[in-house]
Amino acid sequence: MPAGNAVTHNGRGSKFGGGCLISLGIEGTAYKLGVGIVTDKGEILANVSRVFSPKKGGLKPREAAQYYAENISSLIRESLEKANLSARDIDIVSFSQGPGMGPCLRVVATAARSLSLGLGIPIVGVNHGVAHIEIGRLITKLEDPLVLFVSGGNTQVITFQDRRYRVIGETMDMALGNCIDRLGRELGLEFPWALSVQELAKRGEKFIELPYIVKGMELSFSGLLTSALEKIGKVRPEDLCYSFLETSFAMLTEVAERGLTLTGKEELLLCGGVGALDRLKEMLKEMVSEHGAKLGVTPPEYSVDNGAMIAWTGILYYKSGTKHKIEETVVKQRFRIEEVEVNWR
Amino acid sequence: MLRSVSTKAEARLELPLGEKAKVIYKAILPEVKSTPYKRGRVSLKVVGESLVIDVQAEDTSALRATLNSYLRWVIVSLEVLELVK
Repeated sequence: MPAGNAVTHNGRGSKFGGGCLISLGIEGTAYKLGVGIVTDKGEILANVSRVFSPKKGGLKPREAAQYYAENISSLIRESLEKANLSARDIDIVSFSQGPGMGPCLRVVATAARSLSLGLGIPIVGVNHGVAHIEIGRLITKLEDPLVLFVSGGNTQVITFQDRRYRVIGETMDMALGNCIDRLGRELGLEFPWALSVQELAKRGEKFIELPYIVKGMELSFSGLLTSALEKIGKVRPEDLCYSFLETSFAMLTEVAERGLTLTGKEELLLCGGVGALDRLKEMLKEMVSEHGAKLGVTPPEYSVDNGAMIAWTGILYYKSGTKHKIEETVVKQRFRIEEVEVNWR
Repeated sequence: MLRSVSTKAEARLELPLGEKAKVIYKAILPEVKSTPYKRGRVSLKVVGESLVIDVQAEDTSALRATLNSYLRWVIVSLEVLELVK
């Protein structure tokens, strides 16, 4: 990324070059707490995280929030040590303002406000989905991709038009990552469930027919999940995981292909935690090659929820004129990506 | 102080936070204004160098949950401010 002309807010200049801005970003929308430090040149100086792993059952927001509270200050310290910086070298504090689980978002917002007020530096509340896209664009160097954003809380096809990211296709019920997690949990697999499901799927031999529901640009996964859960104990878990991933990834590939055709885009960016799964990447790669298009995949470290994506997007917001007053930093549990005016593109 | 009656529970926390009281107040205040809370109400203020949290709730369960949230935020804020000393 080109260096900007911005002057550091702290007025001391930067050890990374004159006029360089340093952003510390805090991510915390679900079970992963992350802190990243990034310069406005796109250098990622630190990207550390800790994962809340529920002892039993699914993710309980208040338990996750308590985990966040117990870990957030030490994780910020760890990120600073990794970047070889002190807190006073930071120019901007960015945080995930939403969408996500309220109790988690509030811990993150409180930490970010405290850092901003304590250091006397600007604060920027960042949309989680925008951050996934922007870190993907930074790393893959794609200019104007169609985006397939698939994670535990999101399954969307997104395009950029008229200064906003616009959702042109999405799940009508559950996010795919949530479904994969649920399948893994019900099968008694180890956390993180998605990776465990993938490992089991690699040993699958027989394809089992499961509901495949795509309506134009919309998808539905709840029937697929229900059907898969009903088959637990009746079929080999390996075959079930294999069939579940094959079916759901084929649905995603179909919608992404339709999106490419509709928008005429020549690039596809895969981001979000589910984007770390190998078979989805294989299917998409095959599809885009048939269209003469290019696939960019955010690497796993930056594809899952992470602090670097928040820090980087905070810089983009800030340099395009957006910074928030403290009273504007209330969390937004249902923060839609279309609400953000993208002034940096 | 913790007082509970059949339909209402109240608590006041006075936290002597010294010079950090005002910063922590500002860091938490947006949550007071934005957190959906249908089972009671919360008020936050700074008195001298203390942060004062008043909670009125429908019952002791709601009271405990609310106090836990606010104490969690206060601790987070305090610990983060330690990083910028």
